[in-house]
Amino acid sequence: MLRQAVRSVAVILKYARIPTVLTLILRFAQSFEAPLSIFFTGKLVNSIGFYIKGDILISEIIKWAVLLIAIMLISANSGLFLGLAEIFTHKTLNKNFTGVVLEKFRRLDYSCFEDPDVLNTLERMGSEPHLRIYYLYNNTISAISTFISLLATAVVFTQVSVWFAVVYFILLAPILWFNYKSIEARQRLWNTEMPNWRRRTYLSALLADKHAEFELKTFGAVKFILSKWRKIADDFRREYVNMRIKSSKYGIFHVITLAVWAVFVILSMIYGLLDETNQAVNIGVFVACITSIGAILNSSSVMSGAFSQVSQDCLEMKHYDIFMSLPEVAPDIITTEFTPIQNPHIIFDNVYFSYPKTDKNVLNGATFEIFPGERVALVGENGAGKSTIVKLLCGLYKPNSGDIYINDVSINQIPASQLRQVFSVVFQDFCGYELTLRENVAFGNINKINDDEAIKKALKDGLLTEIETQELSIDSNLGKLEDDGTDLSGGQWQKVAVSRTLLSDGAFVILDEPTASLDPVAESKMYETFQSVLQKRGCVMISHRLASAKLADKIIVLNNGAVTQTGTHSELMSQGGLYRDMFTAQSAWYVTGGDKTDNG
Amino acid sequence: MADSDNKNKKIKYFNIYGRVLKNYFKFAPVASVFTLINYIAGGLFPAFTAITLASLFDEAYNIQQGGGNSNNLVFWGLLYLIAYVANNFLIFITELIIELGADKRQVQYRYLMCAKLSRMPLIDFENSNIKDMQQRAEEHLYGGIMDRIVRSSLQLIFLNLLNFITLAIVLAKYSLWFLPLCLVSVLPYSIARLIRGKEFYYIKYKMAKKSRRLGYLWGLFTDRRTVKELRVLGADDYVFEKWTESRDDVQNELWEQNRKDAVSLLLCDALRIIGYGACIVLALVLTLNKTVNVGVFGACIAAFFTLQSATRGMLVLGGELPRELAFAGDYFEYIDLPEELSAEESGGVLYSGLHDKIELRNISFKYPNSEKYAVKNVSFEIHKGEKIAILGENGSGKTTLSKLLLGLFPCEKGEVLYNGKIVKNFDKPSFYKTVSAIAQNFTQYKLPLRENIAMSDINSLNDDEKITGALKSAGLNELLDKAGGLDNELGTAFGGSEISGGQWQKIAIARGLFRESEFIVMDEPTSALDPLIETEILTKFIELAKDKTAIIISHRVGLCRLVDKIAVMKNGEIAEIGKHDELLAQNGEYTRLFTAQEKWYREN
Repeated sequence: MLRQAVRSVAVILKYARIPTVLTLILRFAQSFEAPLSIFFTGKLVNSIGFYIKGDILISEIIKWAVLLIAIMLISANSGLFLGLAEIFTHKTLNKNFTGVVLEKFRRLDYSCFEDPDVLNTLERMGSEPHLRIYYLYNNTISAISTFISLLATAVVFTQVSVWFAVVYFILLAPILWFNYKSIEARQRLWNTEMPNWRRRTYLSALLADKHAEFELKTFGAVKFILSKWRKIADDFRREYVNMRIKSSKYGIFHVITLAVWAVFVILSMIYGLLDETNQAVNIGVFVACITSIGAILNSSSVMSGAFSQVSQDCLEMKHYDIFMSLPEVAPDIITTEFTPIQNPHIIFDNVYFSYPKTDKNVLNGATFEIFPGERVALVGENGAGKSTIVKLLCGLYKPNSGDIYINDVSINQIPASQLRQVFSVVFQDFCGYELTLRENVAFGNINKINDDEAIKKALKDGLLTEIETQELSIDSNLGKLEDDGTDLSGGQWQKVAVSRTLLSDGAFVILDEPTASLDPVAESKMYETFQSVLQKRGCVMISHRLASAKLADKIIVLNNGAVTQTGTHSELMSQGGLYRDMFTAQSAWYVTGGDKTDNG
Repeated sequence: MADSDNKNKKIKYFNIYGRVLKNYFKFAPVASVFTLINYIAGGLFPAFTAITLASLFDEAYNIQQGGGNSNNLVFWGLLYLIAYVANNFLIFITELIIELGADKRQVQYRYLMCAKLSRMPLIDFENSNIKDMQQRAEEHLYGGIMDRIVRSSLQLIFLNLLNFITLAIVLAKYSLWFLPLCLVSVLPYSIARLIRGKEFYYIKYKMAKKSRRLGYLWGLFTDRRTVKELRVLGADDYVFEKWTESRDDVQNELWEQNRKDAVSLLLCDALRIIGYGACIVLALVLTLNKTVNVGVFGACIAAFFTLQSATRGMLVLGGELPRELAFAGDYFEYIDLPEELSAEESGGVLYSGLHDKIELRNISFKYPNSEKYAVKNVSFEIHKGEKIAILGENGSGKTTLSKLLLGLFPCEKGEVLYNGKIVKNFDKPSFYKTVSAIAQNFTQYKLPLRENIAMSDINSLNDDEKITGALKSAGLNELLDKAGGLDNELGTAFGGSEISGGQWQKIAIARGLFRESEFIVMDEPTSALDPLIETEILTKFIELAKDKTAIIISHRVGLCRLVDKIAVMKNGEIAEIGKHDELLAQNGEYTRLFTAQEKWYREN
């Protein structure tokens, strides 16, 4: 924990040096405010006593009064400068450090994003790790400066007597400890509430979801969900109240130790004052010590609070550390001049693949070949490994064994930046970006971001008719992030995603379920587009609508991660097997003649 | 005009405050009383301290000067000690109770929010304005705003104001000079706070939007889907630059705003300390004048300090209050929205099942905030036992029509009649008891398997035999074999087991089937399923419809051959209606839809 706390200070120092140094100095100075004001109050009150007696001059009083007011002015202003320094630290940190985190995200090996453990770490790290580090740093220095303040108070107390300071020290330990434990217990309780809270959030989200609400209303199950919510909340509350009351014992101990300290201060002050031989306890010390009883309570709370926060922050920092040590994509080493591969010749050679941390092979010796300019349909049941092949082709994963060749070069030898130019992909779970329509399309080929004609043409070929009807312009904001943004339907987003690939120059196109959100008529039109636009380009199309397969030069049938059949539509239909089964099952819903219910 | 607006706003604020306060006491009465005790004790304690300390210090001074009474010294010392310790204990106990009360209220507010959601008409879920209202209300609740309003207002009145008044009285007793001084020490701070103005809130609102955009761009680098796509597309450099730009923009504005804020705070604090210093100087002068004694001087230093923080607290809390009340107002605005009538209120006609026919009489419907009719002038009849297929392109109004049919959306024009009676007048429970549905966007309940099935008939939640039966006939035997059986939780969200999209779809079917109904609406799923599973599911639809009146919404023209009647929709209207062969002969919309699909499957 100590190491982490020190490291957080080091990290902040690294990314925001000047404001941090400034902050540290101010914090250090500030920690003397409380002890010095006790000291000056004592001196001032005493000097008044002496002045009235005629022992000293008025200048003595003025000196102490000025010092007392000065220390307060300085501390109030240092609070302000501290605030400014803090904002400045924030600013510098945001500028220098968030980029570092985001760069790490960018370099992260893609497999991390599909690893549940990593996802869990990312979720717990939160979206603003730089703030967590900042909090850790802040709490660390706040704990330290309060501690210095408490120490300096002890020095002031040695004025009274050494044993007074010693007792102060002895009592300070349990005061801080019990306070820390009581805060920590509450923190722990809060952590136990998290899973319960997530469940309740899920149920209320169900009630707020229009699709779920349709079902629940029809089924009359709204009340059931509501009562389930109530039950989870009530069960937890009962437990919470019990635990909270039980854990409050530390709080009681804390109050008791504070009371002991108050008893000690008041009794020793009265005793010291009445004891004629004791010159140390004069009226000034008497006033200063008694009025400072409450100040110690405050300081101890601040310190224990900061300390318990430090331990909590350290726990959370663990996630950041794990994140920073996650594997990264090997940097691109471009050895050869870039030569765009227009019509790649792709070979899958006995490829085996399983996702990291799983033992089930998704690909079991997949072997196939795609010739330059060939249009290929990849078909198979759900889970046969179709989308995995796409991910391997894009270089997001590497095969466990076997190899993939593009124009006779192993895919491992091709730098990521070059591979990107070979393929243009619409994934099954394609994204719509809440940016302008122009940007959405230009992501397919960022060099054409200002080429209005090309973008319009891509959209036209992608069948987004809203451009022609002028319901949308290419600079319309999409999504709900902006007030004037237009939210598209699933089918419209899909058309945008397809347009994206059509913008890329001559790349080999991979379409994973490009028509899933389209109705049959739109789907039919989309096939016609593919036929004309992609005529001279190679492509791989994955679709459950097998009509698309008929258009392909070659159909590759995948079953359990291996290629079981290859051929044209008519070849496969005459062969029999999985493809024919699937095709007949589906065509029965479209074609006239034959008994429709006989295909289940 | 502006004046009356202001007045209305004030009345509204009072109204909101009244409701918040009422709920505060209603939801956790004991804790609320303790809140008052805490603040009143806290309000009186500083004045009491000032009195005891002044006497204690005075006695101490006298003793040091050779006079005084040691018994008095001990008396005042012990009195102060007892008060101090008692106050600490009181604070500890009341804060514990207050905290528990706050938690209880928070749960209650959230529950009311859920309960409200559950009573909202389905049509309101389509209304983005209402959705916004709901989200705003939830967001505010999340921050515990209701408790904060009451606590800060009570703190202002009882703690801070009591502090101020009692201390002023105590100090005035020592010297009337302290009274104007109290004011002088407080006034500069108040003025400075007021000068700071309202610009701050406006900036905050503007910033929230920019920050949202920044957060969105950040999210593009952390979400699996977008990471995959942006990397493969090679567009991540572009987005990264966009993010950097947006970040710097947000940063600069934030810095400007914070700097301004800090400078004006400097002003406030400097004035506050000057006021404090003036108090000390005056006290000093009074002491040297022998107007007050040294003990009082000592006590005054402490009292001034309390006074300062009381003022500061009052102004900060008071300044925040209007904004927080406005937020609380968002919550009540949502809670006050009109609801669905409950069974008792609607006084509806009991529905005893379909014996004649369902009639759609010239119905039209528009979604909220939309100009376009989603369903327009639709009329047709469904006789008991008939199976109807509704066909049409995406967005032609099929699913909307089914919701109108089930009386879940109100018709703008026309009526839906069951046995000749208007559907919206039926007693709801008796009506929905007889219908069932398989939704297009069915829900994947991250709940136990048992509840996933029995959701449609919650009274049979413990009828294992019936649930097992439904699972078996949906072809889901494999789920029963998993650990936990019926009580196995589905979905990985809360650590349950993962199941495939096809299985979720079959669960939705089993759920629709589990509910004994005489009229069922089945909407074909939009998600992509492989041809074999898809066929299995469509076949199941046909099978399910066998002994019922049924509506099947589908894209599959082939399926239409098996129903009694086909309604083809286009742009919200019924384009054609009739049997498969009749419609083919008409060579209209149906034929167009049919050939669009069929041509790809034709064997040449």
